[in-house]
Amino acid sequence: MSATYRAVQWNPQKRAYDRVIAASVTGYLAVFVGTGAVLFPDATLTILLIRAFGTAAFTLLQLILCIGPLCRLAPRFLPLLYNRRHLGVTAFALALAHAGLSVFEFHAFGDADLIASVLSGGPRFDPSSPLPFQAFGLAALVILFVLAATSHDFWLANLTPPVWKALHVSVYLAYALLVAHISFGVLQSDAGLLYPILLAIGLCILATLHLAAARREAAADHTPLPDADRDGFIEVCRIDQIEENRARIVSIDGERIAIFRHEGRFSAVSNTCPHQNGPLGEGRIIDGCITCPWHGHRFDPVSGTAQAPGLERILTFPVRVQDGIVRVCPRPSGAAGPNEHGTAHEG
Amino acid sequence: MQGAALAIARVLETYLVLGVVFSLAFSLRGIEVIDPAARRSSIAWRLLMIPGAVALWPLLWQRWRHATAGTPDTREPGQPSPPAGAGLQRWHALALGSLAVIAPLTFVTALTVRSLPASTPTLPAALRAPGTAQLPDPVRPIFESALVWKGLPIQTRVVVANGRQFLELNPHVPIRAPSLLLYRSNQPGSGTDLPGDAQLLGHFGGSAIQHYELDSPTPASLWLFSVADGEVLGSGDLARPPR
Repeated sequence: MSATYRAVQWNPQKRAYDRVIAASVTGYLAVFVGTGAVLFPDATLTILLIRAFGTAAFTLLQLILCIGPLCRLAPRFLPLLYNRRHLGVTAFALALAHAGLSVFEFHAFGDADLIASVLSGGPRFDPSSPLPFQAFGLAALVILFVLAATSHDFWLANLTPPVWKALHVSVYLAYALLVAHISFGVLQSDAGLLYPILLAIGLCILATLHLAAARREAAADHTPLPDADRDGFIEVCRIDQIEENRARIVSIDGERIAIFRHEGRFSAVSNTCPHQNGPLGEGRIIDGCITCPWHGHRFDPVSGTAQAPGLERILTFPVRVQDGIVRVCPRPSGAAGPNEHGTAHEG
Repeated sequence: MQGAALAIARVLETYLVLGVVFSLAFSLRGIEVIDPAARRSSIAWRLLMIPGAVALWPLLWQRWRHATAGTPDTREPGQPSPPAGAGLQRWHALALGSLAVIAPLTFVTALTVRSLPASTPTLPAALRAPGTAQLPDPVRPIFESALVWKGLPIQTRVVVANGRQFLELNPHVPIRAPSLLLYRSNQPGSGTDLPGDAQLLGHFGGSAIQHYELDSPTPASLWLFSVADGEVLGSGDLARPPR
């Protein structure tokens, strides 16, 4: 984490990522409105835009929730994770545009309070809906607003990572509220099968990915390891089971430890990045530094210190390599200075 | 329902107004009191922090008060605390598990209560698709008139075919506004309220030439009423047929 704050910490990768987001969203909106105007000539531009923004926001949120498990299952998806926060802010902006246009179209010209009109705009306002579906949408929008507004590192530092991460887990609540918003909104008024089928597919994909990722993690966490030797070292794997510049993650007494291999040396560190609890073991060693797959925070594999201007430090663990077997001691190395037992050579 | 909605709206609005007032002071002064790393930050960055301050102002106000009072803070400014580890993983699993139950249940419930409208809505006879009045051959025009409604010229003819009188409207360009109703009246075509003697001729829309059978003498004026807007969009006098 830097010693001061900047509005957006741009770099070439983030710029490229954001250009792809902007082009994809613009293309989606243009295709949706263009196709809608041809297929439904009686639909007004406002209605087409409301649906285009709404579907774009929900699709983006669906993608955001799929990225985490996708990256755990296949590392080639890791580039998607790098700037996921900007995806989240984009999803909020699209949802806000959807909400703004909807309020303007359906609530703006009455004498009722706008928020009260949205909250009570259910069965009375739209007889096809048995529930006030707009209230679900408003609640989801409030959550997405809080998440987007607190996405900067300032909030991470001042709320503390556990609180910040716990707050951002509410994105699942926002998703559930949006499922209710869609289910009791457009699914009740639109006779077509397209929306129910797409929503069902989205739910199935999300459930399948999270279940598969959870199963893999649970299997890794519960892999039995041999007992510790008299020095406290535990055999974790063979050296050929760790790719160059990659890590193998093992769980010892509930602590996930990532054992990296780099230029013939092995080093063991805590699997949790202090920035946003990203899984360091799913990252790579780039230019001699462990690089978190989530946001690119970098740490020295020997000492665990963050690359300047970062100030954090991750736990390191002593490693031994003997007869092609990697052994790790689950007791962290000394807190001050690089530990002489923090790494081991291939031998 | 309405009362509860109004109460929630008032609470939300009050929270937001207080949050906006607080966030302005916070972005100017408080932010660097609670986090010294903010002292050298730009104006753009401070503006970017305002929405978050609006959302979380009670928490930040408390932090600001503690920092001003010198209450020790265990956190080092600008640095994250140690990760939560297993506790956070449990919270994450709980949230995901809840989603896995709630979302499909909501979806299935919504599908169960879904009462789809008929694929072809049944409208009153007068509102069926415009132009449904069949025009027998041959057609003899009685007179023509050009009405202009909201800047839209609509060519109007009254024709006689097989002894029956029809009103023919040619919009020239597609009418995209939904729920337009066409009325006839024997009063002059001016004013913003439908005349008392106005009679519904039918729905008006689309781009095709539309016909409405007239079962009484030629009207003096035509009126276009928008159901969506709840008001008269325009009216126009019909020229009387030459005698």
